[in-house]
Amino acid sequence: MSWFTSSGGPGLLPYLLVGAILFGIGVTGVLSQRNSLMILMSIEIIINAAILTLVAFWRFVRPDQFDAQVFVIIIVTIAAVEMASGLGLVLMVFRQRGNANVDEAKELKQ
Amino acid sequence: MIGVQVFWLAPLLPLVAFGLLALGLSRSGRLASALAVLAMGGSTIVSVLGLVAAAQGMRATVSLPWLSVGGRSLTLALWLDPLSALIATLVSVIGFIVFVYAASYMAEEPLRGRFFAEFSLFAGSMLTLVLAADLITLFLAWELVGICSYLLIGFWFERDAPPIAATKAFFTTRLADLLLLVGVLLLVGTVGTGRIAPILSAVTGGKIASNLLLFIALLLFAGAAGKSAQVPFQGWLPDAMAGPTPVSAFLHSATMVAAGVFLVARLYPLFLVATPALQIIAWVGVLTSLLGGAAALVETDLKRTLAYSTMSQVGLMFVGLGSGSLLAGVLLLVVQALYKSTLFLAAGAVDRAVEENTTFMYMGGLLRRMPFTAFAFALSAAALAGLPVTLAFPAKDAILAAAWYANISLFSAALVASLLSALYSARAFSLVFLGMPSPTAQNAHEPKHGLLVPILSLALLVPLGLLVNAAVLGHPLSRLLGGTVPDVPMVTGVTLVLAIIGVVIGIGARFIWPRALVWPSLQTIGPIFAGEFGFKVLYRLVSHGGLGAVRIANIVDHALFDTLNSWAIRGLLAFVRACAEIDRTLFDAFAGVVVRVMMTVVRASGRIDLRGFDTTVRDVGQGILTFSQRVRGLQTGRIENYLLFVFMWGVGVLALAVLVALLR
Amino acid sequence: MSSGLIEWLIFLSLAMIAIVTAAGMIITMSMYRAGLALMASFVALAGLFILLNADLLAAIQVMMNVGGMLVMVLFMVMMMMDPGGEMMWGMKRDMHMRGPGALSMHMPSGPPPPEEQEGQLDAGAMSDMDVQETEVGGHDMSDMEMGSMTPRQNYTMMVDMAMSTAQLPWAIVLGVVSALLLVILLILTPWPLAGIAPTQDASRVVGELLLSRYMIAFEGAALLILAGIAGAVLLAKRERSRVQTPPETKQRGEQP
Repeated sequence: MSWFTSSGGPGLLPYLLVGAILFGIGVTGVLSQRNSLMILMSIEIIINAAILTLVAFWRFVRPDQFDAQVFVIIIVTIAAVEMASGLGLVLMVFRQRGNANVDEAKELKQ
Repeated sequence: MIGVQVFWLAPLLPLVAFGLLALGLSRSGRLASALAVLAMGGSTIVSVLGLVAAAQGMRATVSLPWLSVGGRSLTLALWLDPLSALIATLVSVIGFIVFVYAASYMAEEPLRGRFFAEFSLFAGSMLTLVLAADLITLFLAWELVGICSYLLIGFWFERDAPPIAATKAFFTTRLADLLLLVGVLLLVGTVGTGRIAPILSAVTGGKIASNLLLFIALLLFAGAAGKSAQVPFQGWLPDAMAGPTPVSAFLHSATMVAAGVFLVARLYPLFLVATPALQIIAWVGVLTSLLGGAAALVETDLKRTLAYSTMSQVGLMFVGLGSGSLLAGVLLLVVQALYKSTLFLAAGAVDRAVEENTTFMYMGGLLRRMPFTAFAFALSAAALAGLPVTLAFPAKDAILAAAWYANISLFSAALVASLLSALYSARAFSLVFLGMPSPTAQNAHEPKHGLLVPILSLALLVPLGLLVNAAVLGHPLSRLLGGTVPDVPMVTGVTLVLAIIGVVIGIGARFIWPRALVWPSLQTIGPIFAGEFGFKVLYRLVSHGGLGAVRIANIVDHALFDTLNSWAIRGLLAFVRACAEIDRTLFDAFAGVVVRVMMTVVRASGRIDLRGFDTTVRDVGQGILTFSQRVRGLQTGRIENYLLFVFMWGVGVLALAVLVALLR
Repeated sequence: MSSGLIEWLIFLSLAMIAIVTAAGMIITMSMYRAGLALMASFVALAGLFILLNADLLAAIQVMMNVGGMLVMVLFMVMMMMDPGGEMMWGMKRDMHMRGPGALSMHMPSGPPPPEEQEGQLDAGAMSDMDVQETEVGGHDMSDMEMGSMTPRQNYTMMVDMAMSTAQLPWAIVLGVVSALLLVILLILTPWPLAGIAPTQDASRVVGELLLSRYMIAFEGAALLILAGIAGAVLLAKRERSRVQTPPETKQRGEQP
């Protein structure tokens, strides 16, 4: 059973559950928020949920190989870059319109 | 020896000149005449060399393979042997002189380039004919010569007379050539080769049936007779005088008309074997001779007189050949060529002097005005008459001697013919040069040097030519050709006497002829002579008959075939109409019924289509439209909606994974 | 107490903090507060990493994400007219709107009320409004005391002020469904567990790995950072002569 470790502490599954709940919260945020920045932050939540899951797997499935940590580093880097680009775009949109609300960017519909 | 090596240049040089002139050099008349004269000069030199070589006993053959037909090979071959060398030299020497004469005579002619081209072609082909070693080559050259004759006679084709004369000459000789062709083909076919030497040896070796040989010989002579203007092919020669004088001088006096004689001489062994042919040859010759002589006696045109004279002389040549003496015929050939061409050249000078008239009445009294021309004319006329111009008798006695040996009646007829020749030649001379000049002759003068020099040089060759078989020189001709010239002193004497009588009477022609009262019979006889003993009437009858036959054939055709045609057509038309009726009534009715049935079917299917398919199609279309409009509603243009779709998709995949995990 | 129990307690507390603050980020009215909440969630996650013996990653997490969140907050301050949520708090109190001021307003899901003349209140019209109530928080318009606002104006205000879009129900459904599905999947899958604990020094090993086996990824990440910097700078650059340029010649979205 992966709920407990050998020494009685939380096993794999608790961490995975936390990750899953965080993922759900993030999804809700992405789909319901009005401001673009809030959406970006919700994406951050999702990414971090995934990172948590990854680290949990590393710890309980393959702790002798640190490739997972390298993977996490790369993910974090990419997330940071994505944030930066997203912020740039939001800034541009904000300058154009005066706000960054997503439901007012309706021009794609004819 | 050079002679044997280059003898084939003799025909080639004039042909090359023709080629160059035909290709465009004929634009410049002076260049053309110079080129032609040059070519002929070269020919002369080469032929003389060849003669010298042949006299020394050398022989040569040059051949070019041409065709191989049915196992037999045909070649174009030239041959140097005494006879060919002799005649070639004769042709080229006379040719050279006539070419030089023509250069002056045709000096004002704008189209003389063409003239010299044709003239050179003729010279080349004549030389080829003479030098031919092969019957096919000979026939080819024969035909070429005929074409040149047509072209040259009709040189001034813009005038009326020359084209008719040229056509007449061509067709007459053509008919004869057909017969010649049949003979040649028979001979070549029987023997197997066209080469003359093997043919002759086959003939003499008796390899050919005598009937066939006689037939062939007659056919060959028929061809020769056509070219040489013998009966019944003689009508064209007087009319051929419509061509320029050099043409008459070269072709129709010396060379072409002698080609027939040459042919017989060439194939003489064949004729010797087919002896009945020889007799026919002799009698045809004598008949022509009499005919020609008689016509020359009453002719009013100088050139036509000379033409009839040629006809007559050639007849005498055939008499000689037919009497069994090759040498007599060849001798007369050589001599005749020389003096006849001189006479023609002089005639050309005379008609230039009297403003292009050749009729006797425009001439007269030219002796004082044109002494040199008169001298040349007299010299040649004397030779023609039979007077011994040099120490040798001009060949006529040889002919008569041969005839004497052959047949008495032949001899008598030939005797009469030679008398006639004396008569007409003297008559001609006196009418032209003696007596009172006619108005046009008042202003006559000697021809220019360009004309006079050739005339005189040829005239001077006449006595030289007469020496060709002189006893003084040791009978060169006999040595050359082999055999002896028949010589009967009595005959010679009779001939001489007759010649003198004839000349005297002839010279008196100036004064005698007008006195028709003295010679009343002449008035009746004259037309007969002029009409060539009725041959002209015969020709006219033949041509009229031909035309009538054509008309009858036309009527028959119209009556018979056209009527048949119209009946046939009417019948067909009726048949076609009947068919149309049937078609209309029967088939159209049937077609109508079929059409009505089909229309009903079509209408029914149309209704089904409209109701069934159209409705279905419309509904389907409508359904698709509605569906697409609903789907379109998904495109809200809002980012949040799109995000929702993305995540719904993701959740869907997740659910699928869960399902899979559950099922496992 | 056994170490396992302590571990469990620490785990649970940290997990609670992470989840609650993440949820709070979405709920709260103020974006400033949302940024702070996210920072707290990340710190809690870093704590969880430490529990998982991933010290290096915890450190990296704190440095990267917390720093990133600071930047985010700065942006929000710039953009929002009421970053602290003060105005909204006051408005809610004055208008007696239900729910704590810290919680965000939601997009009304009903049709807009008809236009009215000022000063005239139509109680019947108000009741046409159908505001969806959620357990997270919402308003019941019928409880609201109308000051000087017409229903129409009120509606418009709410549309302007709302933090969440009209898709909120869908979003909640999807979030819950995805979380549930993940949970089921994670429970069901038999994970191959290794019973050992990590023994090596993470920094050393990770460093070695980065520069040996994952060199390409490392360099690629560096390149990506460079591209990101360049792109962000380019995107954020202002037009130079924005003030002086007359409006006709100004092209939209043009970057000098």
